[in-house]
Amino acid sequence: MSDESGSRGPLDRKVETAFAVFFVAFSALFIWLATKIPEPPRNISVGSGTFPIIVGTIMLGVSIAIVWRRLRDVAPGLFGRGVGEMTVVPLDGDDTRIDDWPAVWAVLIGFFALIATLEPLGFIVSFTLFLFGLATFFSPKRWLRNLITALVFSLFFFYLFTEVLLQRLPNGILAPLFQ
Amino acid sequence: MESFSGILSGFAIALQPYYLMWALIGTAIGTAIGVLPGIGPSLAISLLLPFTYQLVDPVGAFILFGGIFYGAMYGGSTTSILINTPGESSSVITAIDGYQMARKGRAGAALATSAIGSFVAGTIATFLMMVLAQPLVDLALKFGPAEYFAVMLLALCSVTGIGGGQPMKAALCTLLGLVLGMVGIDITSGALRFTFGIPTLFDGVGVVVAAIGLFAVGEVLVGLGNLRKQVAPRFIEAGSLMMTRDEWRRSLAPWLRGSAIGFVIGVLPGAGATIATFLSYGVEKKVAKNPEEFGKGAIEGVAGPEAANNGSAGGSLVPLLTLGIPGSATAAVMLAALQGYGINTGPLLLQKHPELVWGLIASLYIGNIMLLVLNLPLVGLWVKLLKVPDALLYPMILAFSVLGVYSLGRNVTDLYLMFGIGVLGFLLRRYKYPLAPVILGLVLGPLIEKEFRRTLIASRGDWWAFVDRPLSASILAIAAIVLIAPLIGFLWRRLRQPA
Repeated sequence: MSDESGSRGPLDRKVETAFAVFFVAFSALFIWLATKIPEPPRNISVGSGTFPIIVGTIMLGVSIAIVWRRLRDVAPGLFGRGVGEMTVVPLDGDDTRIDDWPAVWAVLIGFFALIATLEPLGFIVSFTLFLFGLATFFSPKRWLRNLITALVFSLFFFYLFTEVLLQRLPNGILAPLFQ
Repeated sequence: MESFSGILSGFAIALQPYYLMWALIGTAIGTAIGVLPGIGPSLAISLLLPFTYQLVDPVGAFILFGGIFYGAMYGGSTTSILINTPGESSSVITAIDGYQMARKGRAGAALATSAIGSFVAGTIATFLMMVLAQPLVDLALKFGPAEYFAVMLLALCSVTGIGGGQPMKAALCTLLGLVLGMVGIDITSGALRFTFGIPTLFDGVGVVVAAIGLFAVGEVLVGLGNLRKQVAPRFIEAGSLMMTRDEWRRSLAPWLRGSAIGFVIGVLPGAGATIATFLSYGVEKKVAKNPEEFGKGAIEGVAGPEAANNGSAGGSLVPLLTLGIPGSATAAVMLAALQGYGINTGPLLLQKHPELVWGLIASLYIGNIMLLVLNLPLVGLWVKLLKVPDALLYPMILAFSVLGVYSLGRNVTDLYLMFGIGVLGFLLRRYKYPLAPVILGLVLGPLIEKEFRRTLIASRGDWWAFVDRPLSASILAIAAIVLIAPLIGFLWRRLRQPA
């Protein structure tokens, strides 16, 4: 097994293999899309699709090689002996380990909600809710500090952008206050 | 002589109070982001771009960015030494002996050798940049499209071959970056490619959007994904910053060797500071009289890598300023910033905007002195930054990311694109695919395709045009060697292993 698998669980290893397989499918789709690019009417030797097809083909080859190596690592009996990674530089520890998956999901949902509500709710409300909500999720005992920080952050940057940099930020539900 | 008069004019610009102010702000921000987890120089510059476009002229912006770049290299070592937590990946190796020195009560000496080594390397790298800029530009002006294509291919091959640590994954990430770079209107024919009818994609995937998505979102997810279960770090006081006579003697040669290694590695596109520090550490261990001390607090293990990481920062600016080819993710974002200011990059940059190039180089000399002052006596101040709770810091990074991307185009679709790239970046990082090649591929993609097509159109489809001229053929040969070198090394090691 490659060093990169480390102490990860079987589900995580399956996801990693699926991630590698995704790139094979992605490369194939990219090549197909590249072949659909209309060539310019002029009779020139290289059109808009040539470079994408070359890059897509190399990517397909590389992604198949990664999947092949991955399969050899996870199932050496079926796919031959695992070969490990051609590491040029020694890898430092596992700085990508995740111990708290609910936290990752909370961040992703909160971040998506911030983007989705930015224009309907407005900058100040959505940023305050996001910062307060996420900071309090991780540090619930300090909710008052989190609330004050979130409000100050949102108001300061709203003022900076709209009054100093003269850039428009969405007012959202607070629009009547700014008219 | 041209370099001498150029640098004099650069100092005349950089010493103006307005630009000194931006140099000071840049070095201070750089040191802060070097100390803090979660923000690297490329992300910091990406986040600041919306502000700089509004507030600063291009010369001031590049003095600011140069300060951030150098400052991050200085600041990263502080947390490595005092709490065994590197602020940057290029400071990982410093933690090995730096933290051991701190445990033995020599934290101050470790910080001093790190800061002085960074100063020495930064100054040497800036001097070499100054000397090499004009000759490289003169050479580059003789390039045709085939040579440009070859140089850019060399850049991408070196990212793949030596840049990512894991060549296959680095290759995939480089190609992914090239693919992202092809989205939008084809600059040669005007055809729309891979846009799926989404207007936001007509202009392509923005480098800033991609850099923020890849670096900020992934970093925050990893940081917060461990926050509730991590043990609070134990601080060690810095103590006296005085080095003993023996520590000075043992640091001098590693500083010089580290500077040379760092600069050479930095000039190679994609190799990056982390590789330079690992190489420097390996060299120091090999030439040391007492290699068994390494890992237990050898000052050479701090002095060499810290010099190397600053040397590589200077080196990576050389191809950016002379050829318009970025040598690192940070340089790639700086290139995007130049383009955002409407400045054409490439060898003509020095001719058309000498005030920018020489002003930046001069300000790096000044910035180095500022960084020495900021980092040694004020080390206690920077460490206090670590008291900002992670529960607030990480959400703020995401908030800054949204603010930065939204303010660039006032377009929510860009934010969804950043979110998608961020999730992809998290998965890439999670499964140890390097992220910097994606950004380099994205920046170089449109440029390399343009030169590829110019070569073929000029030669009426004759593919031998890439190797017809000796210079382009030589560069392509080097690219091929760089690409297959890890494979040869790997096979060689396997052959030498006992069955």
